[in-house]
Amino acid sequence: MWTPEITQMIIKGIGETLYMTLFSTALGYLFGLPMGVLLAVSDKDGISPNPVLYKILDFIANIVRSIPFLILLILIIPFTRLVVGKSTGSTATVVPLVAAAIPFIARMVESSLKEVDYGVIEAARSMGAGNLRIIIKVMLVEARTSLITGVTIATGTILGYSAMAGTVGGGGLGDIAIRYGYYRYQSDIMIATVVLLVLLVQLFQTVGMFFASRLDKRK
Amino acid sequence: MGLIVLKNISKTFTTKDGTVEALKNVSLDIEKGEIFGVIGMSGAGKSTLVRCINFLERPDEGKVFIGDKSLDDFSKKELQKQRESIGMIFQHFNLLMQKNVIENICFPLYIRKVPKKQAADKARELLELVGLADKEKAYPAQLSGGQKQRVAIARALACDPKILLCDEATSALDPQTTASILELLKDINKKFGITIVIITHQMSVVRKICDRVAIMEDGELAETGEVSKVFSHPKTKVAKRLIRQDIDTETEETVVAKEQIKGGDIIRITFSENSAFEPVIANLVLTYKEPVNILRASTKNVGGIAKGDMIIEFEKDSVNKEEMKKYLIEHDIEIEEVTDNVDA
Repeated sequence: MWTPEITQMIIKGIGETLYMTLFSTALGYLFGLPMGVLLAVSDKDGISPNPVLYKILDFIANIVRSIPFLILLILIIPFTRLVVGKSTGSTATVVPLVAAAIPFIARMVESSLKEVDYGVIEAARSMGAGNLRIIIKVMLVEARTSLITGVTIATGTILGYSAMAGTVGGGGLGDIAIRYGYYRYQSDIMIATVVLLVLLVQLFQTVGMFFASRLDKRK
Repeated sequence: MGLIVLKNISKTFTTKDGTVEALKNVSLDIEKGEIFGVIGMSGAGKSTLVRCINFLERPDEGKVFIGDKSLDDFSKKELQKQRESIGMIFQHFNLLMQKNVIENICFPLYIRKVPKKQAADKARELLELVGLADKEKAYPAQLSGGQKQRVAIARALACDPKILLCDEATSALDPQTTASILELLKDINKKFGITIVIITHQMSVVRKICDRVAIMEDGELAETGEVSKVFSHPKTKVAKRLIRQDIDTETEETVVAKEQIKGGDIIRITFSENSAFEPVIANLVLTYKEPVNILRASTKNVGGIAKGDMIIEFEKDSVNKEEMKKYLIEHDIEIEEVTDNVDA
């Protein structure tokens, strides 16, 4: 049963999964990080409270996060087609992955930034720092460890979502697990892919935690 | 007109439990170069008051003048510029925990866009001043409370401020560290002529370094004046209470007093039940025609009986020392040589 073609396919699957996960995480942060910053800053206890902005962002984040990923995946197919020109394959999967990741990442960034000691922000303000500088030089720096932990969690979650994308032909290990393991009852392939997914999550987790603790100067 | 003038400042906060009047029509005039203390119990509004000086809190009513200029008239940019000339230190130090000592001190200089090299030189100079030249690369987590506050002081001085605001700067420190930090602040005041405003709830801090003091209660100024005058003639109830508390915590400090008095032998004498009623010391002095110096005296309630306890010092070249000790013992007094510390 186990042919070189299957090995080939699994290797390709690992590549696709990594591509979808890492690319989506990166794009997710490109939009999610600013959104999270805006959420933290505009909240009533933030450094520049803006109830209207906060409510809008809060609403968007809640809406997107409450849609099950599988439904979101299908819902935004027209948009996906518009962006990448097709609705199947790894690249097409990145679109819904990013859409799901942005509010999730924004929430994590928001909570990391809110952990920053208000005293330090006040000290920076007393030295004449403006809001932008406080965000970049104080909040993001002081929350560094928590933010990196957030990246680790986000990567793991997005990896899980990418496996789900297999159902709509998204490619990657999840796709293989469903096509061979589930539809064709080839348990060995399913188990192999699941084990690989577990190993990938472990790897991300270990690397993330290593950097988080390495960069934490509080101890 | 002083360097810092607060005119009829009022500030009200709205919280979940209603409104709090943190400041009620407070006026203050702080002279250039002085060390000014603001003291009060917690919740008296003193932290809000100090934050009005650099507009971290905007007063609802009233005006704040720094060197004749009203902070109200400043634009956001001008206000940020103004803050550079007002350093501030805090109870919990508020250092950047993810940055090392020198980066922390350079931080206000980077805000001012001072070139890196120049900022580092300035920071090293300040580290020297606060006595932490060897801690340049350490992170705040590796420092003691006193060292952290020294770093915070260096950071506050980085932009050569005219004013230094201290918000409960010694409240998280032990008495010895507090003393050394106060010493440092005094030095800075003398050396650079920086006007220092100290917010505290400890009268001992005011007594040690302040020239003038304002006593606050419930958002109002109860009393303002020279420290020595307020101490000797407190007018208000709150002033009296703060001073009494200070005296209660005083005992430890007699240790220092002892070291400064260079005299003869020191003994502790304890009056028993009987001897407490006769004027033993007076009689002793009359008998031997030789004075003794009373360093400390107190009465304690020991098991329901009033017991006296006194620390006395003989003259440096006392001839009757041994005779006098014998006299005391004969009069039912326990004596004990005090060699090192005159503690409680």
